[in-house]
Amino acid sequence: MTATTKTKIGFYWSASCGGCEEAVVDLGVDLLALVELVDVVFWPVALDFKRTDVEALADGELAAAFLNGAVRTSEQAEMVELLRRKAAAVVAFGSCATSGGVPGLANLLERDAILDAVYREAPSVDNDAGTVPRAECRVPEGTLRLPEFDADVRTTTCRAAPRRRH
Amino acid sequence: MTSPRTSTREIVIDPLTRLEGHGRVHMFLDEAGAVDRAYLQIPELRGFEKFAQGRRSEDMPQITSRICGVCPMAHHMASAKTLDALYAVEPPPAARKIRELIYSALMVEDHALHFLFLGGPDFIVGPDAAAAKRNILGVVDLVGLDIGKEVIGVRKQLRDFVAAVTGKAIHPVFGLPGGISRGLTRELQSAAAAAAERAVAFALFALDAFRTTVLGNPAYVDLVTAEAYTHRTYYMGLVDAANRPNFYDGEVRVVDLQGAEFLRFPAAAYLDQVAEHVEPWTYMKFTFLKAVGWRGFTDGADSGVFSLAPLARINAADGMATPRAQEAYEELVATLGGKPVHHTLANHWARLVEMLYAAERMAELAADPEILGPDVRTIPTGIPTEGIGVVEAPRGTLFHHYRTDERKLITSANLIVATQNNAARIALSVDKAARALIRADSVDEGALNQVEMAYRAYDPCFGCATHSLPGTMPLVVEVRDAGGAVVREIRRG
Ligand code: SF4
Repeated sequence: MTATTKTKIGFYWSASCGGCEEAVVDLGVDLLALVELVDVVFWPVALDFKRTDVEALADGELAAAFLNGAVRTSEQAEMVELLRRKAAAVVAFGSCATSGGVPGLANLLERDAILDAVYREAPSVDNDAGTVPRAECRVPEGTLRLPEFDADVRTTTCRAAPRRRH
Repeated sequence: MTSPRTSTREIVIDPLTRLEGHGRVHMFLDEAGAVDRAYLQIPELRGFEKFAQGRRSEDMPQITSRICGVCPMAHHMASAKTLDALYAVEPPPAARKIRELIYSALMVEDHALHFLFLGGPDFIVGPDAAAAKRNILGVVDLVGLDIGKEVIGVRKQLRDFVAAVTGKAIHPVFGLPGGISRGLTRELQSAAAAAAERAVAFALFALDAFRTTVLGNPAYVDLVTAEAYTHRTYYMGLVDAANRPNFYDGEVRVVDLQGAEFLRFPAAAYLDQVAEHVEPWTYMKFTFLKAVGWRGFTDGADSGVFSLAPLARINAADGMATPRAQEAYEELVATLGGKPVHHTLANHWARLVEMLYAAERMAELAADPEILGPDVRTIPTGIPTEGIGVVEAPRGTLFHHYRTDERKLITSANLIVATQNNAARIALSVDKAARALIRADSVDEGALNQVEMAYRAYDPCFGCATHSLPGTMPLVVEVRDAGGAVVREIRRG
């Protein structure tokens, strides 16, 4: 984890259930052997290193970046592209990263249908006003913002979202 | 920060690290620079309830386990139990016991994950330690490589066992309506016994480490019992007939702020007892007790806010079902001044007590001759219409509820996930900790981490809670002036 001449690698999760991260953690004690051989310079689920640390790397400085999860937000797309630049090789692993996986099912649906199902139609919801989360919301102390909920899911290896079936 | 004339100065922690999923804390400061209100926002949503519609009911254990790869077994098992109810079939005794055996293994390894990787480093390495040290590698540095290898090895052994029985530790192929996909061989029974024995030893070691590191350090004890990390709410947990926690099955019990039983109900009655409140500023829904009602983000007896997860389960129970866990429970209760314990950070301790219980329960089940029974499936015959199931996920009570049509396809799937049940109390905890610990002129990385500790204690899974897509971003804290301009910026890492 310190500045050495060891080979550097990174891990990143985008729209992931965390199972692909677990697959790495499941290396068990081999994980300790791994960090003797290489420097893990980025791994958000387990280490408090940040995007600025990745930005500070030279292009191609990482021997490999291991990416899992689908791409659903602009932040995720930026991180994937950043790691593509910083790594000699990108390894996309897991079905979400390579083909969209279960999160990709969102591509079959409209955004409003998802919001209605979760916030208005669920039998346990107490929501007579029909409130759904909004991109911008005034609260007594100021304004809170949420990312616009986007149903489009892309893979790590493909820039464009697949066309939605109607 | 020259002329703060309004209360619009803001601090944002985005994202929260070392938790499963994605979260953000947005703080508004008053004119004096103190926190007026801190909002915990969950910025993503996935929509499993909608994906599920039109799919085959028997696929639900596979689909819902993809909500979370950290505790997939919790969704898988809740789903399998919901299918039992949906098809009105009772699994044979061996199947029931194997399910609980596997579930106990999950509880040990999941709690161990939290202790080693997620929330534990705050305590073991220390809340003010350098960011680069507050992680598993810092833990290994501190306890030594041999112990580090042993604890990581225990977890691996448990997961290997789970994988051998269920096909995969991540996203098992195991639970079916009326039972499981295959029974236990003698070899697997021995593997279970061996893993359980090692798990008991590990849980005892972890409790010992907690005693030395935390209880032996008055500053830590002050932190655990600090008012900044304390809330008085109702508590919920699944209990057996003798009111002891059971993770796999039982009735839902809720105790009040004095620890007296307030509610006790079977999973099938969940809609009578809990409801979900929606806020427009987060994708998280907030579950509350209907008998008390939603009164906003406030604690106390008049607020329907309740809490789950290890400490809540201990509060909602009268004791533990295994001997050594009972001893550990008694020590916790006596040390913290009786029940219910309202100190959020005591969750770390309660988690270890539960880990010991789960390990002991695993050993009991592994030694049960009935577990080798060849009959592990009751084949459903009827056409289902509706089913409700419940388990205690590592992070608290988890409800699944499906309705189906005449083709057995899902028409409605409702999932009330543990972290969502806990969401209002977690939001309260973050707000209170922020008010107590943050000031505009003294905000630093250690203080921000102490705000994050307020939610990490619950081991929340925001990915589960909104069935959202986790992802992480750099942590940048911006302090803005009334015009929205950034006057101060703190970057972490
Ligand atoms: S491929 Fe997707 S669903 Fe499967 S473990 Fe990875 S992140 Fe989870």
